[in-house]
Amino acid sequence: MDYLIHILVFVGIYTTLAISLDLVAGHTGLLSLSHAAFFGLGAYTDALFATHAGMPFLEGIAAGAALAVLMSFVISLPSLRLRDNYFVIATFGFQMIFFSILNNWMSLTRGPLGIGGIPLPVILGWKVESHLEFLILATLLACFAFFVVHRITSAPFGRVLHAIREDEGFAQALGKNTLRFKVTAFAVSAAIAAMAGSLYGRYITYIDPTSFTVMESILIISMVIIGGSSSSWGPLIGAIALVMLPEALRFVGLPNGVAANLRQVFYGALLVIMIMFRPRGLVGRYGFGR
Amino acid sequence: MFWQLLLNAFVAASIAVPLAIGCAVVYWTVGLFDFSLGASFVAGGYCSFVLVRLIGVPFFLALPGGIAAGAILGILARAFVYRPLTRRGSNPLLLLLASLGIYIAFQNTLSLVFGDATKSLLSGPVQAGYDIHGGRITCIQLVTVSGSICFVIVLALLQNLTKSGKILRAVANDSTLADIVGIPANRWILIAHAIAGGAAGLSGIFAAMTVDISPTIGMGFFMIATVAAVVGSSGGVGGVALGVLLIACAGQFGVWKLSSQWQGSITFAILLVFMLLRSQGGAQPALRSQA
Repeated sequence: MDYLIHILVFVGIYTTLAISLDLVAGHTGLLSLSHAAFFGLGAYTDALFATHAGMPFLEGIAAGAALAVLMSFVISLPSLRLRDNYFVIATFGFQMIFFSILNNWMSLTRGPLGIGGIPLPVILGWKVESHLEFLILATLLACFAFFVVHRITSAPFGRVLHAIREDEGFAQALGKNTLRFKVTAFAVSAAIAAMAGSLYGRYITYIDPTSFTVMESILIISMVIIGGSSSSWGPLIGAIALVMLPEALRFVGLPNGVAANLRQVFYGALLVIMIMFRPRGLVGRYGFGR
Repeated sequence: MFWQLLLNAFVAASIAVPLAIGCAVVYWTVGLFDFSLGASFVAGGYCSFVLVRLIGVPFFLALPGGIAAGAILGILARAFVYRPLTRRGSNPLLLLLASLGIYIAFQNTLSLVFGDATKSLLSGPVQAGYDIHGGRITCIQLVTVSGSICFVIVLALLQNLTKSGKILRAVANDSTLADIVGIPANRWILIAHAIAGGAAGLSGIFAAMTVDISPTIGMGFFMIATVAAVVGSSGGVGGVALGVLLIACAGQFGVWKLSSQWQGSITFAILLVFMLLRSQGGAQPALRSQA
């Protein structure tokens, strides 16, 4: 039972990540490969404040989100002027640089050694200890993400984002400052991803750079694509599919190394197959970005 | 020190040059950053490794084998994934994601079969090599460098002087128009993918000879190659080769001042600076939007 709840906590965290990425990728049509960087930024910010300064969870999560918004400006203001393939490659570049900072800035992040002993979160006197309590917290966060993204995308603001996805020149012709819309969407998405990161760090109590590689970014993108981009339930279904199905490999009794590779083969093949045969994802309303 | 770093840069660049030209060929023809070339790269390296070390084929026969492996992968990716997607009128981003999927699936399949440990193509003691102004270069490295230079010259001639080169440029420019005047654009795009895959395979063989390979090195080399293809794109084959050299030099001399872990970051810093400067204008209209 504990194992199942553990998996569900991960589903909650990844749903949050997929929902936040969907705001940028599905609704605005900007395929970003730097989402794991924001995830990692939230995790590291909260973990460092918690272990060094004993900062409580709520402050830590806010600090992570604020820092992610700042970093999203650093990434988005220059690279959002680029389009399509170039934007993807630029965000890929930022993701690689971020990973290399995590891995090499020994005095701050302890590099590959990672940060251990992250304290359990206490929220307004509620000490989150058991897996079940974490599941509640993760579900709350996913609901929060869902609510925020839903509000944004069903408002006129979201309609402008959709217009940018369909035809940016047209949105500009209507007098919309599309860069401002894209930068805002990117910042919101980054903040939510960072919050998921803080929760991840508190739950696992140990983080190291390998959790925030470009493969992680690709995994989150795969969830959006496979579940269905620009839809309400797509990110949840994508997260369930990509977290749960590989877990089934555990029960086949393969050695750990083999299972890890097999899982990656599975992700890659599933991504290609879905793009080939069902580009709108399992429950998506639009083909990705179009 | 200076000469040694310069030689190192030359060797590193030589490994990546065919791959970078492959990336550029695909990019020129269909406007795609094709991650599956990273798979062709490791396919070439491992194919030559299997032929030489496990079967015992002489090296000069393994060379075409590795190139063929890369080319076949390129052809398969085009025929079974990119072509159906393009015909359906998919968003270019979907093609890029599909190529990422191919790369991930292939790389991990190789990890399953061969393990993640590094493999070396050539056995035997390392020869002392030659001395150039106090910098050392081994025989194998020299073979890689000269092989790479030959490759650049041959492809540059192909691109600029032959009819095939002209046809490819015509298809790249406007494949519908090429179709109208009787050039089978689809077949030529397939050929472009085959050339790119083969070139990537050659790079993989160079890597297996010079620095040893593991299934995971494809991504690092692919990123250097992509950055070079972006930086040197407007200069044709020669421009891309110079781009690789520039990145390799920046990496090596950067290591002189910083520590070696930052080499990847230097590559991307070059890319970002370049893209930001060029996207403001200049002679590369394709940089901002394909659609």
